[in-house]
Amino acid sequence: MSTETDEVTTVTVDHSPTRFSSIAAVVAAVVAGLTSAPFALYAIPLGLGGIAVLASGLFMGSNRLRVTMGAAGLFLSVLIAGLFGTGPEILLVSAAATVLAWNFGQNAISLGEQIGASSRTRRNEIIHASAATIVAMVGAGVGYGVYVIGSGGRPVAAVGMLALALVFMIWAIRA
Amino acid sequence: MDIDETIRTGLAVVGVVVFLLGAATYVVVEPFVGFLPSTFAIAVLAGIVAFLLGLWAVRSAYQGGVTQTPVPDVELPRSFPAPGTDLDRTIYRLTHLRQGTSEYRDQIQERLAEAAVAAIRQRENCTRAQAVHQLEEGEWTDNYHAAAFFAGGSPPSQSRLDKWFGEEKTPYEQWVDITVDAIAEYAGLEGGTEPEETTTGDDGGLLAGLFGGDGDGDEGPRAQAGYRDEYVDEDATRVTDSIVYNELVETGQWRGVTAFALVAVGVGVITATPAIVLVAVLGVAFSAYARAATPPQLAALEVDRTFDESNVTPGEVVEVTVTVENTGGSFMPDLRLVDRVPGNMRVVSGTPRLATVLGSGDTATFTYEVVAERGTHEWPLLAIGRDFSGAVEREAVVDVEGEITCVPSLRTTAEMPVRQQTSLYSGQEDTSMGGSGLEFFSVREYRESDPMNRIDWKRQARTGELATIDFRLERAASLVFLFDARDASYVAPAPGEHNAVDRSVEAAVEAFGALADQGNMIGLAAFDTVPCWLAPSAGDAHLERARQLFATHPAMSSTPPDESEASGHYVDPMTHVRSQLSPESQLVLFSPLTDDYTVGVARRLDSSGHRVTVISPDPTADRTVGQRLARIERNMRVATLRERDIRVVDWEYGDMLGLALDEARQRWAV
Repeated sequence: MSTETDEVTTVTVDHSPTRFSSIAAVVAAVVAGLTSAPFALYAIPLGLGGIAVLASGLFMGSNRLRVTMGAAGLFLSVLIAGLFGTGPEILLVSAAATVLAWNFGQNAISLGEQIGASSRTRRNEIIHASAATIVAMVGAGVGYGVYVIGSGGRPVAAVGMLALALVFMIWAIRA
Repeated sequence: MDIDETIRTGLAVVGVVVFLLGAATYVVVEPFVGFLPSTFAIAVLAGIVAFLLGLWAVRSAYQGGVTQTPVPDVELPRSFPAPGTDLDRTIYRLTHLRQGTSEYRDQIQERLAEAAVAAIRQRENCTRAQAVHQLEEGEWTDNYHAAAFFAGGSPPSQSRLDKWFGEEKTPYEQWVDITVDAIAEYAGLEGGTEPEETTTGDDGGLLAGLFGGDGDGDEGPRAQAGYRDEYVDEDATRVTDSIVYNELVETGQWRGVTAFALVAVGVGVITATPAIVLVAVLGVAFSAYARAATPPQLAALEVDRTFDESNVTPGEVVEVTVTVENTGGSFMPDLRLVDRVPGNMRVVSGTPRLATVLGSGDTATFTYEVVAERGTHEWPLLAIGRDFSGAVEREAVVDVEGEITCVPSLRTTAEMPVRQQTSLYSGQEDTSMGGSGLEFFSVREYRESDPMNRIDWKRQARTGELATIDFRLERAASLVFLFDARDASYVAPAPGEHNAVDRSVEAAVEAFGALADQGNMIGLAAFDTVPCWLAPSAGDAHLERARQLFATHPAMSSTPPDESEASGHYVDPMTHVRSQLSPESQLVLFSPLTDDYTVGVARRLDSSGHRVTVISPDPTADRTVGQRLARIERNMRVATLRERDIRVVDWEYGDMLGLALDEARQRWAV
């Protein structure tokens, strides 16, 4: 117990993105970049650029826009990989990692702003990240299942109708 | 929101119908293929629509951005503006926002002119009219531009070079700058008017904060000056006795994911790549995840706060432990807790924040240390709850029981000279009267009823005359400490420093003990919205009452009164203090002297026969023009008071009070 006020200095408040989520985001981004790369060389620069921009948004200052831009770059690299014939399984992993990287990054920034990097946030981050990962896995699993069952030479009309239905549904539940 | 919901439901219904149609075609084929258009057209159309909607979604996500409850930096002490900020604000409005050009110009000119006139009167010892004449003629300074300021000139022209080399100030600002510097020089204040460039950022931030500049708070600590003292929004709802919900916030964190799905569908369909369409499934899954968000329930939170010591003196470090329990049956998947440390306290170790997850019956604890400051403190906890996905967020303000009382101890460190006005009670203050005492004062003729022990027997033996020796009468003074605790006194030279009211109370606490020890009677009073009066008295019980008053009286609190309470009018000290002031009381006025009101009060008290000593903590700074002008104005006020034979202790912010008093005593002794 000290009574000398001048001895004790006020703590500094660190509002940079929280560590765990930032690292998780970069790891997810690297996974997305790596999985989109092997079958499409054109995807590599976009993927690497995406990783770099996303990481800079988390580790060099705190910037939501850069995180989103990085994720968008990764997404484009996924699309390009798809166009060059990457298999649906790898593509799903890549896309899931992209969305997760984006979300982890957002969460890191949000926690950094509200709570700060010097406070305990680990438990919260782990639960958040796990929940998002489970959603990605379930979504990808269900989608893949339907894809496997439903593929084969089917009438174009049916595909068209289903695509249209998908658009309506997405717009109805848009976040 | 209603229309949006209807459209969403409509779209979902259409989607389901189209899906069923498609699925039926997929499975049964025969009857449908006949009447459905069997070209690629419809698929491509769907793709294009998806792609365009995707772009639209990107745009709206970009525009919508992410919103979340702002959290103040509770660790840092609250910042108070330096005197003169109002002038800076006026100049800022005038030059940057281009508001009320002529009106503000007049205001600024008038204020500068007042200061200049005061300075001229001070130096030339002339009447006001003469000073005004000098000012208008521009005889007072050699500086051409400064003289022209009051004589209807125009601002100095700015060369293009200056602009190129990053001279941010407009010519008018420079002109005001030059003029204020000239007045300062004329008034004999230190010429060092080069503002320290490094510290201007603080004030800039403060100013920008005042004008609601894009405060997304990306960089640096958020200015404490602007933070809400009211924790609760207007449309908050009270859910339990201790918990208030603020409005539900949609964070929009997932806004972009729809674009992700739509663009994937569009690209996949147009290029006939089923794998890319499949990717859209993830977008759909996350959209659904975000849509499924339920408002977080925080009513079951139970918060307990303990202190390692709850009765402390200012400056002591107190350890605070906060325990939060989820007593409800539901899981709290994302909980962000911020302890709302009172504005005048600062955290010195640990953090008053925690982000965690609380299952039913779980508890979480965090610990931090604060430096206690004067007053009785009880504060709420902010709990920000989110659902799993983080799509919705709710802030709850939880009132927590348990308070910390911080009462200053009355020290005897600073010996304050007392003026020659005393009460009828005996004490230790020397008077200029003879009577019974210790020190020899005079010898006078014997009067009947003079006590025998004071008769000068030696003289009687020598001459046969009776004479009486008078000793210097020692009496107790009756002092009233009067605090200027109006809004205008809540100022500090730099952000994060103690405000002038705090400094005043610190000074009073230091002087109180020594004065009381000498047998003086001391009373307390303050001018503020809340009348504050403690009649001069002595004794242990009185000292204790005074301590409590220092700690807890709202008029002397470390934070300014709420605007709603103040509403512009104060209890005039003249009415409530003077009516109770006994005629022999002298006054010690604690005031930063930031406006003329206090000067008026001191003069009125002086005129009505009370000796006045002003102890004035100097809250002025010199980083901006406004602050420099405020410093000049304050110096003029001090000079005016001294002319009236009112003692002023000009107390530098960083100095010890004892030093300032010693200096003052030397000056008074001359």
